[in-house]
Amino acid sequence: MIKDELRRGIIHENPILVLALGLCPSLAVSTSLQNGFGMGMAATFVLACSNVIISSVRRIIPDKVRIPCFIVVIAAFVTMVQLIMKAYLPALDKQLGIFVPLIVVNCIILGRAEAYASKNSISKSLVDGIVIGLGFTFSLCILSIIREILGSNKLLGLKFFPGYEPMTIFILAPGGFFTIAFVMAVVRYLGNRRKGA
Amino acid sequence: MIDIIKLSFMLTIISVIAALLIAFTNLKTRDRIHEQQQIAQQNALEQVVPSGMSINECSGEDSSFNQQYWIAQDGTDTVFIFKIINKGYSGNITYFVGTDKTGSIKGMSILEQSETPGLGSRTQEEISDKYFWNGLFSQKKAGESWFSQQFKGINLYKQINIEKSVGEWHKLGLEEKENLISDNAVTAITGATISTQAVVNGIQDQARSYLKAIQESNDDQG
Amino acid sequence: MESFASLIGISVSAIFISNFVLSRFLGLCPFLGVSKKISSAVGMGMAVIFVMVIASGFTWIINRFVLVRFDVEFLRTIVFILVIAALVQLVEMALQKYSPALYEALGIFLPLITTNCAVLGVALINTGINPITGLQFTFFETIVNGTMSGVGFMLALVLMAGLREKLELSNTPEILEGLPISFITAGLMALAFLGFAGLNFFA
Repeated sequence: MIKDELRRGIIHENPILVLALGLCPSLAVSTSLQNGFGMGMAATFVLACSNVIISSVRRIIPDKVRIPCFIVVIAAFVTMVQLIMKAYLPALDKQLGIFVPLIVVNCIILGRAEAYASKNSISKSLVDGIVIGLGFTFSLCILSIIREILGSNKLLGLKFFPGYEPMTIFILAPGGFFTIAFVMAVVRYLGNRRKGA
Repeated sequence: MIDIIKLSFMLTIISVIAALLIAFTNLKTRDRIHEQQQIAQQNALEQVVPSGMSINECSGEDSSFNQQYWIAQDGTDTVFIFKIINKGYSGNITYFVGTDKTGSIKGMSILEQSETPGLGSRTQEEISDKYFWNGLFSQKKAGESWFSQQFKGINLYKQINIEKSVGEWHKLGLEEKENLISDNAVTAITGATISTQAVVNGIQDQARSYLKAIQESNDDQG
Repeated sequence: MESFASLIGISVSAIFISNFVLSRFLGLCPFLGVSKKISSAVGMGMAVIFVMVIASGFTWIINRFVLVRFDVEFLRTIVFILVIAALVQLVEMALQKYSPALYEALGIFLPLITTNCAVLGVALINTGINPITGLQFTFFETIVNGTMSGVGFMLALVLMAGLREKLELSNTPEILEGLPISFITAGLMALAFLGFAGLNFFA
């Protein structure tokens, strides 16, 4: 059961590479593995918590104001994450910059709240939040690893290839676009092969 | 009409609960956040002077120069530390410069910058000598960025030159580094000349005038 | 006038040097979703500019006179997003009443402006330091920044739509069809805009 759920979140319904949601932070923070992983974990926390809360009040919230209510719940958790990060991981907070508060408008979280949490039980919503969050983190890490190694010849701040002069373009804006295009193409290729095309 | 009241009421309740949750978190983390800022500043100050010196803050009210600065003393050696905020490429760069009475820079460390990641942000880049393979689980010690290190020995009373033809400081040999010091020059970050120039200008404009003001008030008193 | 030069600096910076989509990565979801036809790109762009300007103004005022005054800056995220959501709702109702044609044309994309990173992004940027002057943004600078960031967004959107209309008719390898080729196109555009990075008015 858990294995199926994990496969769903990380592979079949991967938010960035398959559903094309949550793109803004993905390209901006995937310049180093630490940043990508940190952002992924923060978003997973917000996603899981907001899914649980929204699922538990889903019968009480009137339909007409449900979107603003979802936004309030998500914003509350994002602010909590922001404060905790500033207190215990200030270096990560500096690196992620405005993209921490921008988790609030991450399409993934609002999308999951609308499509899943408001219609399913608390335990199911919690699991859904966690696996989709893990899928988000996983794709962020892949993008970050590629960009950090090619763009600054480092991984986790440590040198990687001896004697390789890094291509700074991968750390800058165009590199983000090219990397995600490449990864998406590879994913599609693997998907086609699996279907036996 | 009653519909609207009911809807607004629901939304208000949820907002109030959310705000209370946030306020609670804020209460719990506020001190720690403040502490982090103090720690960061203390670390930056300590990087600027040779280790072992005790650093004291001065408010500067007694001289005609009313900026906050620090004095580090170790026997007869005195190092003045100034905080400089200068406009970089995409925001302000905040950094500390430590200098002795003659204007010879003892150290420089950057507290805050928001320059382009990968370019201007390399002012804080530390070159580690470890590779991913052998360095992943070894001890991490807080290092000094090469950009800051190259300022040691530069005299801020003289014109500071930016040498672009020799490459970045961390790749140079010992002799080339000594040549730079005798030319009173520093190397620029490839692709981030504006950020480099901002740091140098801040030292030449602000630190120089602060040091002069302190010298003058000391001479007046002496 | 010192401040006039700063406004020009803000405008050039927002449209070209730090373009919201191609440089800051804000507003990517509508960038890829709406940019299939130039007409819808223009309509979306105008709506976003409108919301960005009003949101910039309102959030700046609330930040200065409520959040900072009462030392509750930690409530910034939640207050800003609620203000934006309310503004978008108002814009929706106003359009429905006064310009039903535009309302129909924008369709589902109008409420989606709430979750557009660009709107919340510009509101948050305006609470910080103006990189041209080194000081906090003034109210007028905020309005100009909001407008020009929106213009930059619309510029990127329209350029992308024009390119995509051409891409529709060309032969793309199957694994690159759709999003990957759009990303490569966007990457090439970002590369071109990177050329503006050396522009510095006050060096």
